[in-house]
Amino acid sequence: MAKGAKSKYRDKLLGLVVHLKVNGEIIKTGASNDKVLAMEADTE
Amino acid sequence: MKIGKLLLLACLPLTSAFGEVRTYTSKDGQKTFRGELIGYDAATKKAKMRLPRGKIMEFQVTLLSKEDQKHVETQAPILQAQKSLSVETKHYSKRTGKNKPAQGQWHFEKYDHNYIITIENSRDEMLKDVEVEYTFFIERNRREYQNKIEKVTGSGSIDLVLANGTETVTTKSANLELWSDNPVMPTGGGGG
Repeated sequence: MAKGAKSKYRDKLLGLVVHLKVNGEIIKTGASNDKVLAMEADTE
Repeated sequence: MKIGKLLLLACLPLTSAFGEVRTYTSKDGQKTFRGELIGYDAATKKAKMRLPRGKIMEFQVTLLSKEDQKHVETQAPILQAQKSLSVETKHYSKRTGKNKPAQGQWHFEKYDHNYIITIENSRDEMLKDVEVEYTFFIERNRREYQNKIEKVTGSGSIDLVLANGTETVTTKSANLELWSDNPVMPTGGGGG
């Protein structure tokens, strides 16, 4: 990194939540980690 | 188990917190009860339901109305699939861009992040038309976003999950960025 650019703004990937659906109904939920699963539950 | 007794028990308040609690009607349409379908054996036509206060009952599905029988028969494969499916994710990323900043410009890098979603069906039956919906959770950290959590959604579909096999879906890319805090300053020359 060039001089003067040491400090950074870095986007952070927190994870992925997956829903499996059949006929529009969620039949299974998975996630890359528990934290994002909890985040999704909080935002719904 | 006689359906009369079953219906009597169903008058008690429901405490179940799992699955779908639904009102079922008897074959003659005279009585109703609420319960949660937790199992169905197509060979014997026996439905298993969780009743008020968690009591489990098994009975012939033919004791229910035609509509409820149809509901039980369509829900049963889904119910069984719920127990037999597992989901795993594997993450990978690659850098897709990087600038060579001139003096006074900001340095940035761009990355594509993906997941490979693997769905395993441990049951010896197929499950058709499975839609796979996914959501990335990304914390955007550039100054103007102030650590805002962004959700990026996508979906794919699997025609069928093979019996005792796995299927995979690769997510679309989520784009993440890295930026320098300050523009590139002049190099060398000393502090004259």
